[in-house]
Amino acid sequence: MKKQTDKVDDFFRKSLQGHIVIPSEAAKAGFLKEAATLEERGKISRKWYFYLSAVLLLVSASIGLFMSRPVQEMKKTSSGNLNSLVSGFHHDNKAKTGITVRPSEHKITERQNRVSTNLIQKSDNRKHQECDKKNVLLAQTAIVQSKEFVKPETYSNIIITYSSTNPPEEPQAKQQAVELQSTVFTKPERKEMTMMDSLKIQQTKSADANLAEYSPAGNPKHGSGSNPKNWNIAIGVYYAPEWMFNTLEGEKYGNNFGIGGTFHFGRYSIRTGAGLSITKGTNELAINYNKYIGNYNKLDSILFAWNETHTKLMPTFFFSNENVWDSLMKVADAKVVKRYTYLQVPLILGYDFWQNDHFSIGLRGGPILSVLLKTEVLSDNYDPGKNKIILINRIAPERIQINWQILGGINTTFHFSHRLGFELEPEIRYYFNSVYEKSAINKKPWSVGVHAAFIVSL
Amino acid sequence: MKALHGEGNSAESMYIRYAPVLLSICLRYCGNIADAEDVLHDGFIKILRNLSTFSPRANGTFEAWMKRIMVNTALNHIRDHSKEKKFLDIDPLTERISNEEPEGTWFDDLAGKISQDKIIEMICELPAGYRTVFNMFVFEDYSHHEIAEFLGCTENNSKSQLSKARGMLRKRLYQFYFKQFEPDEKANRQS
Repeated sequence: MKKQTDKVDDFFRKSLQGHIVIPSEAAKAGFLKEAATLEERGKISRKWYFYLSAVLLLVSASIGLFMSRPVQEMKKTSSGNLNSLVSGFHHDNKAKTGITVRPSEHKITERQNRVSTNLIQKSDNRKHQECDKKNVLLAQTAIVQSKEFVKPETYSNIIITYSSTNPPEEPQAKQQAVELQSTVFTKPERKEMTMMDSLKIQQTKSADANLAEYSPAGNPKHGSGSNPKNWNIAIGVYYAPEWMFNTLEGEKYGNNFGIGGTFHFGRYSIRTGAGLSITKGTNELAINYNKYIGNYNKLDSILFAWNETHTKLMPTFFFSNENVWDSLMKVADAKVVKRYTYLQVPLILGYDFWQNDHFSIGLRGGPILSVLLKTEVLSDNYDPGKNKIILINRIAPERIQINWQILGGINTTFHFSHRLGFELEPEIRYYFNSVYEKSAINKKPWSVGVHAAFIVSL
Repeated sequence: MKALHGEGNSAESMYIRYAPVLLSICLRYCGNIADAEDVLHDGFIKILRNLSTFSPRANGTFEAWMKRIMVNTALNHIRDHSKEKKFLDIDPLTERISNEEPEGTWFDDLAGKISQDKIIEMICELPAGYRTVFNMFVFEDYSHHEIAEFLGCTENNSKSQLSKARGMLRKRLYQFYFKQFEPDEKANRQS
C-alpha cells in the first residue's frame, strides 16, 4: 500500500538530507574507552579457548601416563621379587642349591635371566649337595609372593622342575630335570627331598600371548585385543590434505598438520592432539567511491599593502589547494586473498576390526574443534588512490572464529617394527556450522581428506 | 576495512566517520543532545558487538545497517524512558492544532531559506509521541501498522499523532517564515 505524501513530510525529508551533528569529545572518549574494553574482552575470550585446549591435552596425557605406570611398576616389582627369591634361596643354601631358571620367552625380564644364569652355574658346581627342606619352603614362599604380581593364568603355566637326587653331569643335568607342578611344593611328604638341582620356568604357547602384552614395544598383536589389559600409548606427527565443498568460494583446499597421541586399549583407541589447519580464502569487496577529477587553487584571501614606491596598493593573493571529486558514486570490485590459521583439537575414537603382526584396519570417528588463530592478508589491499571511498561492503564474509566438525574414516596402520608405524586414513568431515561468520549458503560444508601419520609407540 | 573488521583503531575511525550522521538520527528521536549522545554510545557498542553478524547480502549497506541499529536503540531508549509517562496514550498538547494550511505560497518560498539546525530544533520541540511517530513515518518509512506494532498503540493512534505532528510543524514553520521574511516581503511590496 502506497503511502500518502505530504508537503510537510517532503519538506522535512529533503531539508534534513545530509544533516550531521558532531558529537562532543566527552562522548567520543567514553565510547573509545568502552570499545577498548570490549576488544580486550574479545582477546581474553579467544585466549580462553587456548587454555581449554591446553588443559584438555594435559589431562589426556596425564591420564595416559597414569594408566601406563602400574604396568611398568608391576614389571619391576615382579622381577625384583623373583630376584630376591632366587638370591635368598641361594644365600640360605650356602651354595648348596642348584636352580635352573630358563626364561624361554619374554615373560621374564633380562635381569631375571642374568640372575638365573648365575644360579645355573653355581648349581652346576654344587650339584651333588643336598637341599634341605628350608630351601624348598623358602622357594614356595617366594613363588607365592611373586604370584601376587603375575597374572593367575600365567602363573598356572609356570612349571617348576626338581632334579633327581643324583643329577647327571652338565649339560644333561638340566635336561634330565624332573618336572613337577608347582603344587608339589605344597606336599609335606617331600620333606625328605635332599636336593633341588634346578628350577625351571617354562612358558607354554598360551603364555606367549600373555607375555606379548608386556613386550617393550607393547603393540597389540596376535589377537591380543581380546585381552582387556592390552593397551599402549603412541605419539606421532600427521599431515592431512583436505578438499572442502559447499563453500561460497566453491571447492577449497586446506592443509592440516600437527602432533597427536593415541591411547590404544585392545582393539579400541582414543586419539587426540593439537594441529594447525591452514586455508586460503578470497574476500570480495564492493567499494563505493567518488572518482578523483583533479584539483585547483582556491583563493583564500587577498591582502592589500601600500607600496610607497609605486604609490599604490599592492595585492598579495593567498591560495590553498583543493581536490575535486566527481559527485557520481561508482562501485569497484576488489578481491583480497587471506590465509586463515585454525588450531584443531581432535578427539577421535577408533576400533580396529582386523589386526595382524604388521597391519591393522579399523574405523575412526569423533569431533574436532577448530579455533581461528590468525588471519593474514596475502594479496595487496585495495588501493583507492586519490578516489574518495564512500562505503566498503563485504560480499564474502569473514571466517568463523570457532567451528565444530565430525570426522569419520577408515584407518590402516602399517607397523614397521614394534615401535614405528605409519597410518593412512581416508576420512570425511562434516561441518556443523558454516566456515563463514554469516553465510547465505544453507548447506553445511563437508570435506574429504587423507590423514597420514608416522607413529611411535611409547 | 579495519572498521569492518574490528581491528586496530577501527572503532575510532568508524566513530569519526559515522557518528555525525548517526547522532543526527538520535537527536531527531531523543529531542536533546544529552540523550542523543547516550543512544549513540549504546548503539555504537551494539554495532561493535554485532560486526561479525553483518552481511551485505542480508543487511544491505553497512551504513543502512548501522542506521537501523541506531533507530532501534533510540526507540528502545524512548520506550524505556517513557514507561512511567505512557506518552503515547496521553496527548500532552493543550493547544489547538489546525490542519488547515495558512493561505499564500509561503511554504514553497521557505525551501532553502531555513537552516537544518532550525528544522531539527522544530522536530525536537515536538512532544515525544508526536516526534517518534513523525520520525518513524517520514524518515524511516514505517507504515502505521508497523509503528503501532512497535509502539504498542493502535493504528488510529499513530495516524492521529502523525497528523498532529504535521500540523504543529506546519504552524512552527509558518511562524518562522513570517517572523523572518514577512517584513522583507512587505518592504518589497511597498517598493
